[in-house]
Amino acid sequence: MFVKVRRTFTVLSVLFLLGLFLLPSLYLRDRCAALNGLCDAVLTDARSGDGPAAREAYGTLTEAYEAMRRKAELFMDHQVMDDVTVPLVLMGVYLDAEDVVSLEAAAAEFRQALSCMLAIETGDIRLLL
Amino acid sequence: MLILFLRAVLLYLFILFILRMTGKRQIADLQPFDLIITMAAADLAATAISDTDIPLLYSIVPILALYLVQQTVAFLSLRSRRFRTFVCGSPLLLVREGVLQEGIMREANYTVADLSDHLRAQQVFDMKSVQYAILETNGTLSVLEKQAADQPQPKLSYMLILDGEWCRTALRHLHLQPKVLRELLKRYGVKEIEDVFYLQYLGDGSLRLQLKEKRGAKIRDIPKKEAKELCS
Repeated sequence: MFVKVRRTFTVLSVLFLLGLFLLPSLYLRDRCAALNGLCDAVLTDARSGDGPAAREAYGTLTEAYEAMRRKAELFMDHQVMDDVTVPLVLMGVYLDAEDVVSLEAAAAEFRQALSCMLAIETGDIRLLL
Repeated sequence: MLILFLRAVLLYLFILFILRMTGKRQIADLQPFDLIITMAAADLAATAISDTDIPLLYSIVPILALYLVQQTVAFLSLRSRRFRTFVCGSPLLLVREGVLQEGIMREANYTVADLSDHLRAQQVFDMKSVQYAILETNGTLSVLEKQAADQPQPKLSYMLILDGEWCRTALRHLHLQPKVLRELLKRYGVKEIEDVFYLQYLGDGSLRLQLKEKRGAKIRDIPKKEAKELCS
């Protein structure tokens, strides 16, 4: 009986781990691609001087990020999520101030933080050591 | 605070379950590969219990990974004696017929003081009364004490066949030939050595044989006289 329980648990552990290796990384990959697209939209609108459209795009970006954050916090270190949140908030501040140069810098930082988060979850070999 | 409490309870239950699954009951039973999971699991759990910034999965995944590695090592150890020897080492005979084995002790980094400590812990205060002392793979010391001078002194038992495989070191030590033992086993209806669960040479010169479950797990005691006839 005990052997059966142990074997079942071992198989379930393997399946659980495989699920954890695949599903969160697929989810993050998909969401990060979408967030990068939305970030591009914000920058394009801001560069062309269309403030209302840039703010609307920023609103969509924040909403999409918050939706992802709620799920990602279940399996990601919250500190890593904070590293993504800070540049996103800064983007909003620079957008209101119509400071396109700083907005671009914040957007670059946001993208960098996103790729770091993705690297942690997708198993980037550079993070192994 | 309630969250910390709940996280601690959840991880406690998880580790308890994992340790139960490893099938070990006490620290003294642990082999090196078991010890790793016990120590590391506690450390990994402590991190996630106190830090709410870290999801519980950050503790659960490494603990599960260690559990799976431990199960794999245990499985391979069960299948291959060579692998088991590589991972756990072999028992070392530190005292043979009352004589300390200096070379073996040096190999094991085991001093006479260590031996005395362990003997005292087993209520043996006099080195003279030790006939055999074996350092087991889990670090414990097994002691066989001498009998009174007018009685025959105890001899060590050796496994000659274990799980269908010859124990070559024991055979060499006892100057036994597998060919001769095979003949002996045939007399007892054993055609293949793979059918033998174990064959033990007992200290009194007799042998004890047990077949594997698939062959009915029969036990046979081979008397000293018969064993000696063939093995001499």
